[in-house]
Amino acid sequence: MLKKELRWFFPEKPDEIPDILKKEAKVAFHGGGTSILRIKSDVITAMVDLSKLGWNKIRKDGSSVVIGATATFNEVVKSSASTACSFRMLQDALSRAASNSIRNRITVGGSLADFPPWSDLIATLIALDAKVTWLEDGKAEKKASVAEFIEKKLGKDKNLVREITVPEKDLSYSVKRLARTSFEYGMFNLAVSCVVKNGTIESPVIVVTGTKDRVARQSDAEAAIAGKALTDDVIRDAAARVKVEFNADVNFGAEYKANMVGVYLKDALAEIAGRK
Amino acid sequence: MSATTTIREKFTVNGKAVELAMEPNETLLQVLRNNGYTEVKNGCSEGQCGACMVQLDGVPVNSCQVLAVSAKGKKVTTSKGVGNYANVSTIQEAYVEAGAVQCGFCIPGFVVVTDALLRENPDPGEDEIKAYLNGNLCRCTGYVKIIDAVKLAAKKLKKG
Repeated sequence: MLKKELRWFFPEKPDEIPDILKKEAKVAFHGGGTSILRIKSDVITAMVDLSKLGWNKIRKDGSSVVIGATATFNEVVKSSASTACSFRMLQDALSRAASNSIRNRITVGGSLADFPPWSDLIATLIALDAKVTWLEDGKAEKKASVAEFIEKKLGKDKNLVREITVPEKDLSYSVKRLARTSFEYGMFNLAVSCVVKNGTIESPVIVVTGTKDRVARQSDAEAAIAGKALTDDVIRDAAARVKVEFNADVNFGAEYKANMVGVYLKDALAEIAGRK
Repeated sequence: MSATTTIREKFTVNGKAVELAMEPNETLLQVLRNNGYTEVKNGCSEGQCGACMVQLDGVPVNSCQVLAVSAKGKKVTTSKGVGNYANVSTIQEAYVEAGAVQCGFCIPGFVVVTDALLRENPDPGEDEIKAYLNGNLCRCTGYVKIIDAVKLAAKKLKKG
């Protein structure tokens, strides 16, 4: 349960943050608050609300789209900042997350920093080779790929996600999620991106999140489709090469979920091939 | 004796400037109900049922998923802000006329979201209605009459 004695701060500039971090025993950054309300940690002494920093902007920057950390999922979904396929892939993935009203609260920065197993954000960001910029200890600006940020668990306590950069790319894609109902948390997310040139697949990326190790890049399945046309045999071969491990939960067994990744990958590749 | 942690923050609720008493760790749902806005219903407290739906600066949110302090200074609209006994809204009339109200517990949430939907999209198709209202659960009606009510409200509002 969150402490009654919680102190709230509403910085208007990022340089106000290090002081707060120095003085407070345990700070939580507040974007939309959905992760905080799920965890309800009783060790948090102070809440730093990010709403006055103006970090919810979504803008074009050269051949990329830059999404501020406090942009909500629905702000991304409704944004007309870019018509690139890669941005549409992200919009498509986020439009499936939770319910409409919850998407009005979940922020991209919070979802990336917290990375819950049902996140509808991370698989797609990795598939798009997106980059994340964060403030280390609220101060020094750092940048890395989302894949590295996740692998090295850089979304820790005092690191504050500032923005996400999505390269604009002309690509084919498919995103899938396993959930009991459309508005519920996904059990896993699958994101597939690739370039289809003269009927053959180039630069495929297949990512599953929600697995035992949180993220499982499917390099074998990617190798099975790279440089090939997506025939039924090639799709079957790729699905057979899926390697994922899950924990069982109250809804689905671990083996069932692993099998469903193969099923969804077949569907995703058939979609990319234009057969669905 | 421990010092009080209760604070007071300013909001605009249903068009009226108010100061609400709250604890710094309370949700907007708790604060609204503790301050008399009991039309905001407490269903699951987990953001799953939509009974606690309010508009925050015009955007529908589950008030159980909003820490109240984070919403200070904002405009909150409850179902009574959409319409009340003295001034029943077209949306509320449509819900009654379509037979969409059974036990009624979920209806304040549905009314709030329907109002937001019809302001954003005055002529929604059935799929758009279902997608927009997918955070609201009703355990009585089976949704058919609720969707009818939204369509009826849209029709009535278009007629003016």
